[in-house]
Amino acid sequence: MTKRGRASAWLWTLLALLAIVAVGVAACGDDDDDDDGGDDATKGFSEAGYKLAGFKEVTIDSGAAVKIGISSALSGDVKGLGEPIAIAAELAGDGVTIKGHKIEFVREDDLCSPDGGTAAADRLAKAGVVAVVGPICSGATVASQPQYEKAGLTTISPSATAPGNTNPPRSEGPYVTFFRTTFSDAIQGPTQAKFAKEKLNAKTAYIVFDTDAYGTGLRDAFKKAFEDGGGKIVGKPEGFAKKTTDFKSIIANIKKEKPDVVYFSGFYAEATPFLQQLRAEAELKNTPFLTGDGPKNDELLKGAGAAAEGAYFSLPTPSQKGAAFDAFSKKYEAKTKKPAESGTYVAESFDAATVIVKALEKVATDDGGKLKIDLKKLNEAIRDTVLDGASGKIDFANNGDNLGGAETPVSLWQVKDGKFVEIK
Amino acid sequence: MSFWLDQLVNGLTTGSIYALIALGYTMVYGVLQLINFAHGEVFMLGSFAGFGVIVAAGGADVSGPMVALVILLALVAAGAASAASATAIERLAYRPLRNAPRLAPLISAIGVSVFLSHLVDDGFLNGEGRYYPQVFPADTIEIGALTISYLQVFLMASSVAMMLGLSYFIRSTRTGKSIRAVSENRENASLMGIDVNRAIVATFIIGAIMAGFAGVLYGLFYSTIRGSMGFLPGIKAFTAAVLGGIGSIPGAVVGGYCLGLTETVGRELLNEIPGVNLPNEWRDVIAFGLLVVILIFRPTGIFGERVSKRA
Amino acid sequence: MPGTVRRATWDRVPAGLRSLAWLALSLSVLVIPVFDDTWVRMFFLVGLYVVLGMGLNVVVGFAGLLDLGYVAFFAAGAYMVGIWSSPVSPAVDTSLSFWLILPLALVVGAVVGVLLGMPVLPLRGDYLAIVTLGFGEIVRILVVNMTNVTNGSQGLYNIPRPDIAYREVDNVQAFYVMIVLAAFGTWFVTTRLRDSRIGRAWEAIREDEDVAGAMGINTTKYKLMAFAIGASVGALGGAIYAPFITFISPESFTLLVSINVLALVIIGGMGSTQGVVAGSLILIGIPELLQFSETRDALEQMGWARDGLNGAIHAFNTVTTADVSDLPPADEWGEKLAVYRFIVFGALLVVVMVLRPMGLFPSRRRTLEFEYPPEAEVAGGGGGS
Repeated sequence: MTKRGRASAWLWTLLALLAIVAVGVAACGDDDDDDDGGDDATKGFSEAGYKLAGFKEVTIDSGAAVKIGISSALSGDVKGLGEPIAIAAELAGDGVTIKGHKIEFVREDDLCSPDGGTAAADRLAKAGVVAVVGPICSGATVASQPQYEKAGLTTISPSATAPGNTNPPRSEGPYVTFFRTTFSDAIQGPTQAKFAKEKLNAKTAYIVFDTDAYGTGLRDAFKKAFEDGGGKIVGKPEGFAKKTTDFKSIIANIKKEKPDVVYFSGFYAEATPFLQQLRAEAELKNTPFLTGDGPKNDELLKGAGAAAEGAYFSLPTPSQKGAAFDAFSKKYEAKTKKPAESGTYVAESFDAATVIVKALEKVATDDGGKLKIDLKKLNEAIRDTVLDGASGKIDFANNGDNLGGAETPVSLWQVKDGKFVEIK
Repeated sequence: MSFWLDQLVNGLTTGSIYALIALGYTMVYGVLQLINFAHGEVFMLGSFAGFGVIVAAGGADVSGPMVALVILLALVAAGAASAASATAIERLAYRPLRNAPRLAPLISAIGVSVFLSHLVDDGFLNGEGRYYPQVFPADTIEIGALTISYLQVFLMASSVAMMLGLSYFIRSTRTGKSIRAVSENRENASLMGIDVNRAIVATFIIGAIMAGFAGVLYGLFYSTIRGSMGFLPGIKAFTAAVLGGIGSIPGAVVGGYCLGLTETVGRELLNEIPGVNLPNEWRDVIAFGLLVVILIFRPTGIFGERVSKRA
Repeated sequence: MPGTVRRATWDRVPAGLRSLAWLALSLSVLVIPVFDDTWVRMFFLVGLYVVLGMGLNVVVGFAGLLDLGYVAFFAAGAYMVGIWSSPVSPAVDTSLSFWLILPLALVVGAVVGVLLGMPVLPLRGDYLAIVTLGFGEIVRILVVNMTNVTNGSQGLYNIPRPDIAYREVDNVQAFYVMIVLAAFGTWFVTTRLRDSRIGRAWEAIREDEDVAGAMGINTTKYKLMAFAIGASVGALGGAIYAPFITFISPESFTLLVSINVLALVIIGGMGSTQGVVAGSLILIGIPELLQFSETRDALEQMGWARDGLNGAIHAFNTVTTADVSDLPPADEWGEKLAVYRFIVFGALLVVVMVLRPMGLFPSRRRTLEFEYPPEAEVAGGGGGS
């Protein structure tokens, strides 16, 4: 290598490094601006939205089953959430027939990721399903919504809570094909903030978040509500990618800031090592840990063990009781040998599937043994459904959000003696 | 102050693990000029073997002096499992390619790596992680402004002990000498009556024991283990080996600690600049950035020999 | 066995027959669009990797620069299209036409190639490999973190399909034709380059950089040229991939892509075009095939094999007190195999390499080169290029 060549290589490296730092400044300086509006349920939806959707008419041969898709995390780090959700959805089809046609559920694994969500949407459309329960994660939802709209497939998610799901960043307004039986994080976040302030007496909070649609959406909702209430977010924004295991460096930063509460928005696979490493620090042993629905899972209790003790969770689910819940609970327990209360979003999933089944009963027409289903009519029937479901009242707003919740659609939980206990 | 000490300790902890893995890379490279991409998976298998032992012994319920015994057993099991798998890999995937074009064993190594990580992830665990039971006493020692956990002390002390043991082994035992001879010049070593195959297998086994050991320490410290866990530490350890000068044993150790410190302390130092905020993920950018800069200064790494530009 | 030129099996086939076979193979790409969409989709992906493989071949095969970060260029092309045409792109409001972005993407690819090539000019061999691997990861992490340009890990979706004569191309067949054209274009350009003055300069650099420099070849210029051209082809692949898949996120641009491309180049036989095609068919085609419903149907008939294997598992469980569960029923095998496709991929890499270390279709000149055992090289300080 000539001397000149070496020198120019140097110059380029320097420039490249400068560029990297500059990009870092630019990319992270305004990391917090990318939030999306609130929970404006009435905004945007119009008849024009229906024109975007590629609704078709589906014919099902005599003797063939009506297929309903399930897009859920069936393997990988979110399987602990996804598997029970899929089982619960399938319970809604047990013994039900639509004008003599059985119901068959088609499971597709969306891995809870945007990539997986789009691939699952492709496969479900190809499998000839008429509607879909899921996707269960906001990341997969956001990525796959355009595909479902195009295919004219109505999806009801039991658990995708990000505010953006029903308020997408586009001029055409919300997707007519998207509904959810759970509630937006625009409701969950403020409840958490209120709890942190009033029950935990927290004035400062340190936020650690998953960089996906769910993690950032919930983070924004919490942050806004906490700051509006006079609280202060301390430290620098600490995002992490899925499968991160080394949180030590983040935790050293938490130690430095000494927050009143550590707030985590993400899933249990990362919450588990985070909690263990957090609680290994003597100074942070008793700092309250507050998180949302993603980590509320038996897998977390199993994995984190003693480190999970005392952790707080919120769940966009009203306190579950009533006849519909008991009936579901019995079925669920018979199938899984676990109480329905231990599952997260299982009642919502059962309700989502039930709404689809009920709408199918309404719109499917018999044509000499064959079954005809107009997907547009199916979508409208789902939109009009009002149901006293296992998870509470289901009544969809125009943008697909569930309006039917009780007064307080978010419940709060704490781990006590290795179990989730609801805080009243 | 205590913040910087914390980060220093974190850097040394990660550095220890990188250094232990990097030793395997650098030794294999020394004898075969092969980037042993499957070394990260050897580390992963060791970690799972240790996990199996700890779970079988009762998991988090183990207490008292039993803890020491269980961890010792876990380390032994990890070393054995790693050594066995490394031997098998060498036999099946590398030895038939000893005289093949240079890139063939590299691709074979990548194949083994993909195979093993997905075998564990997709074949057995369904993509889920496993969590090491927290057996190690969670107590901490305070030295001035520094709080350090027993686990961290154990991790760093035992890695240093392993490295000292290795350096003795390489310098003073017959096998160690034969390894050095082979990495100096394979043909001449063979002419001197050294069993080259034996030396190569020994190299793989020693590197694997270090990696298996690191696997258990990693699990105890970071708790989550999974089939793909070996990938990033493997890449980083190889980076550390290159940083130190590939083929050089002290180089791997220095490179490992350098890398560990740079990505933890270095990130925080950059974050001190007003307006800069690099999230945790940027540590990888910083690590590779360091590598590029060092290699431009010294294309053969810190301890690399300057005899030839060809690596 | 120095001196004895052992011809590859393929070369023993009479020349006339050989060219006839190649002609038939080349023509067969035209027949594919009449197949079912699933098949066309698979062949699109194979074609995509053929393009990428030929691009990487310029860097690795012609110039001898081992690049493990090729995915960076693929990502650059895909993100160019994503950023300039996706409606959710945070930085750009307008949605440009695909045909406008495509040439831009090629230029940006080349620029990225030169930028990443500059600092690694003094590096060789495995040092180069690890640094380029690092660059690939850096680019991915940048994409994750530059949320206000790339939308971070949430990705860019709804990427519009290109228009041809004011009509949106909405079928796989059209994309297939597009990728075949791109492959032929790349093939034409790269083979012309290989046989030109530039190609000979690359070859000289590959064989011995110092000697090449001494002979008056401007090594800096030619190495950067190889990086730029390889990168440009990578960006071309990315630019076609983005509207095909309509959704891109950092997850699609992991090291596995780089590994895939490098592996298929080497498995096929470095430096040969047939090799790249064969490598793609095996490494991309087979794992895709495992996801087909046809494969699932065929496997459902295999219930008998299950009982035998379950017996082995039970024995293993009793011996090791492990808790390996039974094999799933045969009608789930297809699904399982789809999940296990990376295991198959890894095993394939090892098996092909062990059986044919020079690849399936080694270029003839290379075959001669490799007849000499490489120990001689190793003894000289670690084997070059």
